[in-house]
Amino acid sequence: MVLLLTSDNEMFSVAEDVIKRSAYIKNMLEDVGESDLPIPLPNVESNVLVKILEYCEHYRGEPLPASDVDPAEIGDRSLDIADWDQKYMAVDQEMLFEIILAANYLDIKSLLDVGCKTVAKMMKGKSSEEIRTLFNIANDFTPEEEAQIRKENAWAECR
Amino acid sequence: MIKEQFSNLLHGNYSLDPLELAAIQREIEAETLAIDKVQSAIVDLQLQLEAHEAKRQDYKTLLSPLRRGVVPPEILGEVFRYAIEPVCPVNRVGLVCKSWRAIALTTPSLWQAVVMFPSDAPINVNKLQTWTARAATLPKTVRIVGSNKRYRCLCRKSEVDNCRLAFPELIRFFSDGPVLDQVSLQCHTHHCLVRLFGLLRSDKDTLSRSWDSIRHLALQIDSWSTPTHGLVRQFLHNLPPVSSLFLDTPWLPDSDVPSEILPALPPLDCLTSLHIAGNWPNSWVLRNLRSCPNLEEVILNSKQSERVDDVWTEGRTLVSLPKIQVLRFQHMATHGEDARILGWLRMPALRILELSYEIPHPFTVQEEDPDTPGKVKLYRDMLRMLSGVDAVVDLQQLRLVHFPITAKGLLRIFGVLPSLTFLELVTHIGSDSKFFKLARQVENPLLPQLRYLKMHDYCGVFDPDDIYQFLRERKATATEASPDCTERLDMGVNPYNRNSLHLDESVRAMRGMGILVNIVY
Repeated sequence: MVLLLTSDNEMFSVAEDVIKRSAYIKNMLEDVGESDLPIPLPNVESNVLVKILEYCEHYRGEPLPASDVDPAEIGDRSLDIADWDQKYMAVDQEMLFEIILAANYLDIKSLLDVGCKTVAKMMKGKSSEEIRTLFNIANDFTPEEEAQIRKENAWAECR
Repeated sequence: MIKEQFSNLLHGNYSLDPLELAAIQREIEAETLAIDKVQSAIVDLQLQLEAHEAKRQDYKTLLSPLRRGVVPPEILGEVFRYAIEPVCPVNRVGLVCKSWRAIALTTPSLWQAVVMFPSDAPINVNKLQTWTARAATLPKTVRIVGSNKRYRCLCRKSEVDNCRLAFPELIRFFSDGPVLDQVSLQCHTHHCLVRLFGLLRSDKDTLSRSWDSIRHLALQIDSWSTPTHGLVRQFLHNLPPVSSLFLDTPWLPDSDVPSEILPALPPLDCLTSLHIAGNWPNSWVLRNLRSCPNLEEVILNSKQSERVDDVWTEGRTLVSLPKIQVLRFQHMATHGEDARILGWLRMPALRILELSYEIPHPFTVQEEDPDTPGKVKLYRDMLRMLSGVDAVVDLQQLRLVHFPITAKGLLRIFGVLPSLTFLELVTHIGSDSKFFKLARQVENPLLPQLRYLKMHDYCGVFDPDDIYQFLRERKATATEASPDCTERLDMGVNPYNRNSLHLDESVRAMRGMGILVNIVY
């Protein structure tokens, strides 16, 4: 078992084969070896870690993805998300980004990928204005800047 | 509870006197006033609640992970990579806010593929350079669509240099531009390519040209510029040393054009993958295959036209392709003789062969036994492919789509393919349903190495029970020396077809034999 200590000081005892989906933890266990000391996770709160562990538990026993495959290199832009992953990601926006940040910190590539795809799916087909509303983002362009960008974009004649 | 003096009245049918009626009326008015007061308080509270909710939302907005900047740019870049259209990467995300625009402009993976569409103005090469530069060191793909229904290049009709594809700025980009991985050029007529390639040739003195760095090149021509003589002009002579080439042309304007005068590929030693879509004659295909001795994959898409099987005049010599592993014939017209080149090829490393025909016309007479003179010659060509020096010795995968041949002919062909481990059959309504019945009667084990049988039988040609009996007999006659290898059957079926009535029963029986059976409706 591996002990994990979250930022809000909650201790979790997790099976090694479950948490090894995190490349960060896996490497740490390999570097440090067996230890009774908990691994501190200062960037992960307990409620987020519960979700992360749910994911790792679900995929327990499945082969870890090859770490040397970079989706950017293979040009994968598919937005396909497995059914279970879609249900897993049906959380409020704050939790969604917390999961993404935790997956990034813990280096769980497959989860990070699903998180990014989920956010991308939310953006799909939406205008810039709708995206701002969706994510509570303020428009900090001046009208002149916005007009200039629109002019630059026009040449591409997207269709 | 109402007042006691009136509550007793509720339980009887006592007639009220005028004084009582007036008192009750006063009570009703008092209660109405009280209700109005409470309702007014509720409205006030509701407004307060909404105001607090709005404030809370505003505070939450400030805490939004995207506003706080806690989401690292590389993660947002990854999100953008999934969200954007490759045609216009930053049009939407780049207009959301300044930080998103900055991230989009500095995320190289968003700029790997650039697509340029035709318009009134020539292609904006400055923008093309800017976009590809943003991809930094990542492999770059440039797709230039030179024409569509609205914008067509008319350069062949004019002496003025107004070609949408071949113009000096683009030539400079292909000379001095970045290293390119994939380039796709789609043009209205081959005349544009003649011009472009001509200009590129004249600029060949430039060292390490962008054009010469292209690894994958796709050329698509919408139409031929003139009926016949235009084809005499070579437009494929100045290809970069690509490893993969896709050439998509319309049907040849005249099937009688001698293949010697058709534009031909130059010798391409680096070429490992060749995909030709068009009805180029067989001798032209053979001649060009001979120029590319290191091919590993060849796809010949006939585009539903009958490829001319003209005489292979060049000494009737065999064409050696020692490295080829995959050969696919696609969209062949049912009566074409496209696959006749099999007999001329020496392919000792071939592992995968696909023969895909278009669905024949329902009233067309089915092709007959391969032994019948003048009919399908495939069996004979396959025999040639499988015999002699450098013959195919280890063909492992075969895909047959809408095969215009009888069950007996098919059995003869399978009889000479003992190394096959994967067989895929796509049937059509005219396919011969007797295949699996006849296959059980063959003395020598048919396809002894077969592991995986895949069928798309949505017309319900085959009876699942025949397939079960065929597989059962294979298992029954297997010996230790020659075991049955069948592991898996995938079958696409139409549930409303009469042959599907006892499908479940057959599937259960096949699974009982230890075969993994997947049925797709």
